Amino acid sequence: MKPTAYILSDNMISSLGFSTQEHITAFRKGQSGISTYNTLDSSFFVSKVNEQRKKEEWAKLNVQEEYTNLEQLFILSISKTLENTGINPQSKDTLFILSSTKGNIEALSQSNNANAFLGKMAKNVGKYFNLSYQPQVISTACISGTLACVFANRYIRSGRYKHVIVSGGDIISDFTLSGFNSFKALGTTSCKPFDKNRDGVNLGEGVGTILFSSKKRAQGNNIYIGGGASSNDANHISGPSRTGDGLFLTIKKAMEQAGLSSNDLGYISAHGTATPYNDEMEAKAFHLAQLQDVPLNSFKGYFGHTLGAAGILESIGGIQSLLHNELYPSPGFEEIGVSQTVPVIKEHKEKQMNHILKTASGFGGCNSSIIFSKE
Amino acid sequence: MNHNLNITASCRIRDGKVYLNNKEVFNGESSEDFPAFIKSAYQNLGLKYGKFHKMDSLSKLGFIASEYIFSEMDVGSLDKENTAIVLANSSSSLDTDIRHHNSIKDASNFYPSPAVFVYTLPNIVMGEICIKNKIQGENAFFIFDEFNAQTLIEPIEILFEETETKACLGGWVEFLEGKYEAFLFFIEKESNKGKLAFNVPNMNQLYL
Repeated sequence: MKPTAYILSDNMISSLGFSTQEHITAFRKGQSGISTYNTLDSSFFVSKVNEQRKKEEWAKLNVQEEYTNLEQLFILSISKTLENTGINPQSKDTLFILSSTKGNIEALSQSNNANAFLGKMAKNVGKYFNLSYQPQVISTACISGTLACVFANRYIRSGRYKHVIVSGGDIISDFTLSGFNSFKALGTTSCKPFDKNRDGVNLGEGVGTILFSSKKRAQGNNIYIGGGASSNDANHISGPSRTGDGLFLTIKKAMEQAGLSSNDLGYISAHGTATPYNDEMEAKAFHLAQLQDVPLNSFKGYFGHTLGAAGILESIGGIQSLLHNELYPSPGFEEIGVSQTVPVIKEHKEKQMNHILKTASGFGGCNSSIIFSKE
Repeated sequence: MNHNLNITASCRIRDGKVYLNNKEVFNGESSEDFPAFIKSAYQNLGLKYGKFHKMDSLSKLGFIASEYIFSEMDVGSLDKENTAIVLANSSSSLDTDIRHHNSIKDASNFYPSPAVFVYTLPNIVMGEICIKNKIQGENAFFIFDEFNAQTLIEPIEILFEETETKACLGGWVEFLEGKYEAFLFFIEKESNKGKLAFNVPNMNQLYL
């Protein structure tokens, strides 16, 4: 029997707070953290971490050394995740994986741009935890976070590691805002995933961390990874597939690995960026996988597209749904706006579930899916 | 661990030269810079592929290395849904990141381009290789400080152990401010072609 990757602990940091619990409270109310932000002579709808709150949280750690804004968020999220777990990140049977798309990209504005290297960022974060090894970094566009969880499962199942700490993060920067804006991919209001009036993505910042372990939680209520996969559309570097076949392939492989059929899934935490093409592609993939009746939401309406953190934050959101047997509404959604209809969750409600799916897709044509199951 | 995994092809591009399976197959040392060199390698391969000219340097480098590897293989016979690509480097897409950054740092001279921005992710090179060869399997891009055979082997071994992956294009593809290096290899399970075990000594031998 191969070991199983159980979730021991997690943490979410975004505009909605610095703990998973604060996020659940907001999800139950359908409360979004998206607001306007002025930069580059324009106004953008984004989700920003509260600066004052971050200063207070950081001060509690009483750190003398200098860390960048994103490194501080990583350190806070990982510290909170490890609290009371008894897991020592320095031990040889523990692996650290960080996921990020742009890391400390703002360091390009500084005379010494060494911090702009993702490996340097990982080393800085690792230094705080006195790691003797360098954390691995996965940087695979918007599937980075989901893929980090998929690899965590594989590392644990293979018996190579007993514990894997997966932490994903990205921040709001002029770099990403100007880039997505040049693509005309940014929404002109709070984003509306799967809605007929959706017109683009809101960028968000945050960090999500999950501690996976081959050991179960002593207090019960165990959730584990059932399966996961990634793929490439082999179609276009910046546009989603017109058929959804690449994403469908990952759903199919993840379900096969988990030994599940479409009837077994209770809920989908979709990528749902609120761009016209992404949501259309995703709906097609769900139909191909015969998941057209499974309720779904997109957490982008709560805290925007957090890039390298998205797959982890949105997995934790889904895991909490599964754990508490409840569905969280998808903010910004009013009327279905994809050609093949899917049941987008409009209000907070109870639902008994045993398995859920998290999907992600990104530039470069990449896709990833992961299934979380209740023991 | 015995995986019966073999390196069935490898390509190294460094200092104006291309080595396929450890033999020099192209010398472009006379090219004055990387754009001229990589274009001469493209011509050497006899490729006619318009998308190549739109790629950034990192993508061109990885794409050309992959084309050398595939030049001696029957790509059509691959199980496309179970052929993976796992690449790594140290500077991610920083070379193109700097280009995008320079295009936005002056408010009075602001010209971000979507054609540049799309390449500000390291995995785009995998997308380019997948599009050309219709490869749809596992995709992952890792960042390591420097080339290290062991750290690169581990995630690839895991794909063969834990997924239905039948073959994997793996390797190191690094480009920053004119400095470049590519070392790509093709890994197959229980292949009869040139039995070279996928392990650290063999990888280091090929990388030298």
